[in-house]
Amino acid sequence: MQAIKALIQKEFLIDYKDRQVWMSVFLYVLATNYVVYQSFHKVKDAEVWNALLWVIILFAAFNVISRSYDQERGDREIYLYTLASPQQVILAKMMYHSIFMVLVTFFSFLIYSFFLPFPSAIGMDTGLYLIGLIGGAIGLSTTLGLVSAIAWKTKGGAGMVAILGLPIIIPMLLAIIRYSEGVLNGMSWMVLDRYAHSLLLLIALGASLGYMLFPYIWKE
Amino acid sequence: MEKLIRQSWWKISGILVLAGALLFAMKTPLSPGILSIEKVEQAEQTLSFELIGYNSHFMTSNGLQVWIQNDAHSYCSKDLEIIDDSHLLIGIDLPEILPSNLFSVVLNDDIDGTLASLDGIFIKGNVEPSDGNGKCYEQVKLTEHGYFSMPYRTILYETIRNLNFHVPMWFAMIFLTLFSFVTAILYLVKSDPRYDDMTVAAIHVAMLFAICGLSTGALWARFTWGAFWTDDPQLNGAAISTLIYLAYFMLRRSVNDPDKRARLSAVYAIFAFIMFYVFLKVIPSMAEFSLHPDTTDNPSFKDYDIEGKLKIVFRTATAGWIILSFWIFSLRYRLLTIERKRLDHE
Repeated sequence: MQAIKALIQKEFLIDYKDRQVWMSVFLYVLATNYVVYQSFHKVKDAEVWNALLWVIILFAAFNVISRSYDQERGDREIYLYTLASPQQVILAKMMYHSIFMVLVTFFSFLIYSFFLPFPSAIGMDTGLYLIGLIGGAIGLSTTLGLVSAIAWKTKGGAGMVAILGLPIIIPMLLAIIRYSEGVLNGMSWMVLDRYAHSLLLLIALGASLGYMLFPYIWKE
Repeated sequence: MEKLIRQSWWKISGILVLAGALLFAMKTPLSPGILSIEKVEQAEQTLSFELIGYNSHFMTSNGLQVWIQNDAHSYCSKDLEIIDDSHLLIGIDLPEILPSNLFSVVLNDDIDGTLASLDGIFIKGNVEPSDGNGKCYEQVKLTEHGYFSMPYRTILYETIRNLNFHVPMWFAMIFLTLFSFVTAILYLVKSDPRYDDMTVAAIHVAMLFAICGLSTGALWARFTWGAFWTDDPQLNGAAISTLIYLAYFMLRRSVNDPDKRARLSAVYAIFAFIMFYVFLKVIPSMAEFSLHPDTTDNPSFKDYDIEGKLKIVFRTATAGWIILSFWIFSLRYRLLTIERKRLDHE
């Protein structure tokens, strides 16, 4: 646990020193939201509003997570082998990216609702929607964690994360879009819990498979 | 395993089983049924219409009876003219006040058994609900036709035979991906390149069967649902699995070192397989509706297949298709083994 905490700190410090990832995500979110605003001007339909937001978040996640092993090339990679076990590394990466993605998701949500107002309906529970945002952010970063580790070892680069990750992420994206659509339509937790359960199941699977399979990717 | 794929007994028996099942599936006639009710004419208290049967035997059968029915009310034919095996002209006397406007047309003869077109005819007139008038024929028989056949269903008609192609092809695809999942795990555990060859070969052939399953499904959907592609959880699953395994080949092409390639792709195959099959289990229960049988609240083919005739043919065909897919897999695998030997030799 101590090692994981140290690794998370290391990730944070590296990103903090070289703010390139933060800046690029920040710019990506701003620019995409503005492009979406310019192309739609007004979104009346709550379902369209919701789907657009998740597409923006999905690509922001690809943006963030495809860079997660960028600094692990060459000497640093070898140095990391001596410091920690592969399980600790993957868990630390997943946790760090989950926290980071939650922030990015909330940031996207704010900017998005700034341009295109949040379609609040009567009887809608905004708290459930925010929980959905957190769940979705964690889901995206755990599922894409292993995929970006695979892509790290290929010569394909960032494009590889999208190719390998998109088909795998569709189930999770469907679960989260259905969930938040349900919230926007004023559905109660009784109806929504099956989406939440499948999302939790996918998160648990993504994390545990990452934990089990990462050692095989790690060793050269 | 190595020994098994060189033996020929299972290949021969598999092909025989498949050929037998498919021949049977294609040659067995469809059950008789009522295709449509046409030229409905109504004058005063008489009703006349033309009944068009499918695979029926009006000319050669005995004891032909036709009546229209609504719950306990039935009115029998007064005039019955047989034009040919599949065409009948029928005249019926109606009462002044009807129990309902909507009637089913029912027919019985000794070869075709009882055929019905549910709510097949609309009759104009005053309606007043009343108790039944009993049966109009002295003895109304409800019987099954006496020969072996495929179930007759409106909308499906002859395409019901596709059940023995489309569905087993997906079963074969699922079988091969399951196989590739096991060999991928074995590769990670044992690091034997033969398991990597098996994974690749199995996924290759699984893709072949996915393409076959998609195209037979698309044709079937065009005929029954009106479009090649519909928004359906099963189609979603098919699209995603195809994308996943195409990405698998993409991944293999982007790594040069053979050991690393095998390891990374094995990891991806395991990960993708589990995420995908969880998705298959989770999503149909999440979907509001599906056009596929046996999902959400749809009737399944079991309901059409009262005597289990279809099931026997279907299961035999499935076994045959799976053996065929395994044979193609074994050829592909042996080819990869030869290539590997040649590379080692050089």
